[in-house]
Amino acid sequence: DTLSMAYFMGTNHPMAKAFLTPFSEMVETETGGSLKVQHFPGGALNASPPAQYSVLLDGVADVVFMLPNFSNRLFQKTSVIGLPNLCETAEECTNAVRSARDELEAEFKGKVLGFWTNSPPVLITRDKAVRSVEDVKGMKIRVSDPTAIPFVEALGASTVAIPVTEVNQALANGIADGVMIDPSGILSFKLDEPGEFVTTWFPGGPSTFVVLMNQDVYDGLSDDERAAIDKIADSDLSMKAAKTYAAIGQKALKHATEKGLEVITLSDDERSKMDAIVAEVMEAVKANPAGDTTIGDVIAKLGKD
Amino acid sequence: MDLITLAILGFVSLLILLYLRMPVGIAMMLVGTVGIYMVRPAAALPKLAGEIFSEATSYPLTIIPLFVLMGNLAGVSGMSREIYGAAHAWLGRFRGGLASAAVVGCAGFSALSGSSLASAMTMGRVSLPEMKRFNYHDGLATGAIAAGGTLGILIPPSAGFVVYAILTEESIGRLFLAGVVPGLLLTLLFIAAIWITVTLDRSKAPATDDTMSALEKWKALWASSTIVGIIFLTIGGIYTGVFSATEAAGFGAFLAFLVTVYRRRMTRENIVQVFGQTLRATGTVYLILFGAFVFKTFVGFTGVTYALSLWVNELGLTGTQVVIAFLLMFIILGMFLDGFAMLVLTIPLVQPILEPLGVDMILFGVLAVIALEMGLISPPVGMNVFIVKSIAPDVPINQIFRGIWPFWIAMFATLIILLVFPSLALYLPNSMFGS
Amino acid sequence: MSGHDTEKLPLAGIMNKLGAIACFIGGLGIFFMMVLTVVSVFWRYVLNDALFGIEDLQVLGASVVVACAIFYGALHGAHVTIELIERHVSARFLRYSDIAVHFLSFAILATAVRALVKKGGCGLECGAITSNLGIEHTPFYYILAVACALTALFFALRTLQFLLGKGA
Ligand code: NA
Ligand code: NA
Repeated sequence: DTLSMAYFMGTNHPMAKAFLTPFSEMVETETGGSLKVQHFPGGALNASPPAQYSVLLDGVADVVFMLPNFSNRLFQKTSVIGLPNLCETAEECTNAVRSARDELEAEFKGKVLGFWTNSPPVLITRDKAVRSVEDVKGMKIRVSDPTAIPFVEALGASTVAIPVTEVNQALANGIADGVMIDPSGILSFKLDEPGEFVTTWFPGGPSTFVVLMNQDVYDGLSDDERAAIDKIADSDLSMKAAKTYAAIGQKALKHATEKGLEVITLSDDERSKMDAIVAEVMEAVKANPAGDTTIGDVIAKLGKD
Repeated sequence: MDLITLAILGFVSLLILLYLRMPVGIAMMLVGTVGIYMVRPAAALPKLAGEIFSEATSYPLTIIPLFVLMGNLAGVSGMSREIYGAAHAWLGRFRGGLASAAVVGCAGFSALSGSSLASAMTMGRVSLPEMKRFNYHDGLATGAIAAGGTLGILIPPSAGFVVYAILTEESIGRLFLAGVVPGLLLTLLFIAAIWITVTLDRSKAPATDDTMSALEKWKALWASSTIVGIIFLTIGGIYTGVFSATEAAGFGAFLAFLVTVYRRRMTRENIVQVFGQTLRATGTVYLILFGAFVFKTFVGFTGVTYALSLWVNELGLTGTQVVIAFLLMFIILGMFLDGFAMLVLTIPLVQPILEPLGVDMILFGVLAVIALEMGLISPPVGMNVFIVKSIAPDVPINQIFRGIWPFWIAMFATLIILLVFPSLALYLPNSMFGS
Repeated sequence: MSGHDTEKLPLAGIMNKLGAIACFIGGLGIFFMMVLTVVSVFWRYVLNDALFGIEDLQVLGASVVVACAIFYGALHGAHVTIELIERHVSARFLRYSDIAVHFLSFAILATAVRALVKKGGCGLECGAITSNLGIEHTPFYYILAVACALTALFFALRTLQFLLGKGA
């Protein structure tokens, strides 16, 4: 049989190389060729990133690559990792979500094949460097994820939602004073062109990435095929994807430095001032519901209490 | 059935349905849905619903109703007449000047309107009677308006660019800016075409009695300052990055709305006319896009584009050669097909072939839109010619088509110039957005 | 594209009334979109603040406008057809092809109604919410379904009209 796999990026995208292509090769070898994967890259089946989950549920594709962040209201537990200060690196964040896999994966109507995160965001600014809380005040910040809004606003900035494809222009035009994005975004969206400063910490968490298989399709596989799929889902393939993000993030910061941007690491003093503000908001947020439990409870399950 | 055969069958049945006068969008929806069903039954209905919803809620596409509204408000507020008035005052006394004024008026109105038909219609109504009064040759008069009207989709805003941008996922703002210089160039070449025509046959444009004083001329120019101001604010706003193309359309519509209200032209009758026309034009574009995306998915499922790009690779053609081949195809197809239909049918096939060859898709968008404009005025099916015919019912259609040729050649010349000097199109967008 | 008259259409009176309603709602929708744009630009430059989620409102407004536009456009002959055939075939052939084409148009639009109702029925559960404000898509699917249903009805009536031999 052939599984159709849909994703909105091209075949050269790092995640296609780090996960999707190796995944399809593993499926073929692990099942001894009884299962194959046909790629539909570049959004051939649906180009809209937020629509990928429905592409899967509708049976348009058997396997999709999706970003649950577009539907935080639906994936409330999964979105918790997007809160600030829960983890520092893509690997650490991925370990956290994988340690709570059973709890988080239950939010998805399908078989989760891959589950990882990128790195927590950095802040790219153009006219003004951000070295302290005072610098943040009054800035218009593009957030990548609504989860970050209360924290960014607590620091005294206002938030704006801009599709990631338009952040470069928005930063150049001053529609946003700062763009909060995972560091790999500097390369993907050429933010070194409009940007002048990179502050390596800003209150937010990573984005999660999920590769999901249609439940009916999974249930319809033979026992051997299902075992092979389970094996891949439990393998370290997700962690490899996370490591790829971490590596790209490092490369992006290096690239930014080479392009003459100032890469700013907050002083311990300033960082602890911001952490104190974040912690205060966090206390309030923890009581909020996340599915059948609370955000605080999910944080505990992520091992980040 | 193998997928390539299915794809060919899909295209053939689509062409038959179009020939039988099925609305373009509906025909693509039908063939696309049936085609998807043949490949993957479970996907057919969700895809049909999903694409309708995706396009209806696409943020970049919201620019369409907004700039159509802006153009319609420019019409009822009298601003379109003022721009023609200024062109008339300054160009009218030259031989063939009334035709040139019509072209310049079209170009000016095009900067507020995204549609070729609206430009031809609006400017035709004000300029045709004038040319008739001075015994201009019918072919020259109607040809100038039909051709001038096509500037509507080259000079931003442009529904043609929006549709192209949506299909290719290119930036609307970039395409808009890329259309500015070619639009001005084509305007100049249209005027040159008029000049050559009347030089060859002076009887086509009898001299007019120039009775306008210098003061009157400046007054006419001043009267057009409102519309010129709005144009500068919107296009300048995009260029300087004050707002996105979509915001520029909304903002421009709002300015035009204020002018209309201020001039007390917001009558009940005008409100119905403006919003009715805006809705009709919006419906036209969206229905075609619904169909285009359903059909595009079907084409994606068949993998035919991949097969085609392999084939082009094997032929070993360069990017420029393939671009020229496609442009010739567009010019020929444009004779028979509606411009939008042609764009949405061919772009999904053409893009995967061009991109790996390193073709600049912004430049290709400009070239494609000019080829599309040629289709709008070429026989046997030329929408702009039909529009002009509806304003000038006494002029035989063949005479209008004969009057078209100088302008058609001017467009062809623009294509060649842009192929030789691509930076004419690309300088503005690259200086704004970076290359 | 020329404005076809709906005079000879069966139920012309009712259809024209529905068209007027669509025009009214759609017009309000366009006005809303225009004002929304101006407000967001104003907020950004004059108040130096950014409105979060304005895009969500803009696209949902657009879906209402589009729904009205599709139906209103159909009533007023705005949907592009390619007019080549009349010089090649007889009036008789044209009548039969018109019946077939209008019926097929009805059929695919009716299918679209079914598809929209079914897909739209699954809102939050299927992740069918706007990205920023989390507004459910369901009602907007239904509005588009209503528009497709009215447009399908229009094509059904046209089919009937041609069957009765009344021409366009
Ligand atoms: Na235009
Ligand atoms: Na033509």
